[in-house]
Amino acid sequence: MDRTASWAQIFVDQFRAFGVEFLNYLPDYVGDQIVQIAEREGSFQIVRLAREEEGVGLVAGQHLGGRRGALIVPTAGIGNSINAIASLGVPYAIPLPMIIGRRGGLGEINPTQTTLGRALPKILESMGILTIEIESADDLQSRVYGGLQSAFRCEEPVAFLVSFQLAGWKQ
Amino acid sequence: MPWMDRVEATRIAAELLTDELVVCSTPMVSSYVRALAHRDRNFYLLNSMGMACSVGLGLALARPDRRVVIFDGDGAVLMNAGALTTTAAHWPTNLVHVVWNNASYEATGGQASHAAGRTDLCTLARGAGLEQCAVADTLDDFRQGFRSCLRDPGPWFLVANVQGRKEDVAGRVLRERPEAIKKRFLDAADAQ
Repeated sequence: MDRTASWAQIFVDQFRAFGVEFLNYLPDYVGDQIVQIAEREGSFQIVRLAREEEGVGLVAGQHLGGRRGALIVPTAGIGNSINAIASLGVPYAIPLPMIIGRRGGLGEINPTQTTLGRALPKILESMGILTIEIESADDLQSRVYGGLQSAFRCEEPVAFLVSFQLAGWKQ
Repeated sequence: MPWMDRVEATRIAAELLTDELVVCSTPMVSSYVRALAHRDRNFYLLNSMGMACSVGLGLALARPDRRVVIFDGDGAVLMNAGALTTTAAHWPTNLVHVVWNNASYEATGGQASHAAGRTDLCTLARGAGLEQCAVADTLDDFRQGFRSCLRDPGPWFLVANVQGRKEDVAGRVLRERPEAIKKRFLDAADAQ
């Protein structure tokens, strides 16, 4: 699992470099690789959620408290969070990095994941949200750095869609 | 027995608040607070129904040095009831969640919410793990209950059974734009 660990380590290192303290998380196969490293390193507060939309509110509240958070959730959870992103994340200028386990892309095994998964980049882009599709480790560090820089400096939601190709095929 | 007057209850909340950070849910809840209990340390949601619970939790986790008060509505709690389990899991002792319960959707014409039927909000919260719940039916109950919540270790879930009179406050909160609400709040919260 060295390959998978290395991509997740880049996210964890960049979170730390940007002063992210809270990882707001609903388990999925992709995000779990990040959270496992973060838990091992112990320098983050992991906030487990019951529904992904809560995480939009949590990151907003952490920002109102002068601290930085990120949201780590699966594709379906962003579908559950669209109005929160549109009505809270965007208009209140919330720095909201969203690390999304991409479903419905190459190698999907569950037909109920394909419709939202394929629409999601278009939905996010139609809301004006910077959407970064991550399919390989090439240039990963600068893409993660750039996305977090945009989120925190422009104070806006930014989506990272992490694919099976990088995170490992689901069987 | 008629439920307590929401305008008077909000005025009592305004009297008792000191340096707390406040999160208000939805334009209707926010309008009452904006009109009757406005402070620079109040944050108002203009949409995002159900999110006040989560914004308040995030703020409470980020600012353990401050007490955080959420003013919520019954409809919003019902919309995001699972979030109460997240609050219970993280157990923020500085959080006070007040629900103005009018058992209806006041902003859209007063249609009944499930809180008007078989659902009991305090039991719901208790089942989620927030066993520190209280119900206030009268203004005196509310004054006593809210004062305790501001003083004693939380998290607290306080259901205030109220009747509204929205004509006094309607639309008040929409005079301030979202980014201005945030900036004012951040300036006031950081200044302390």
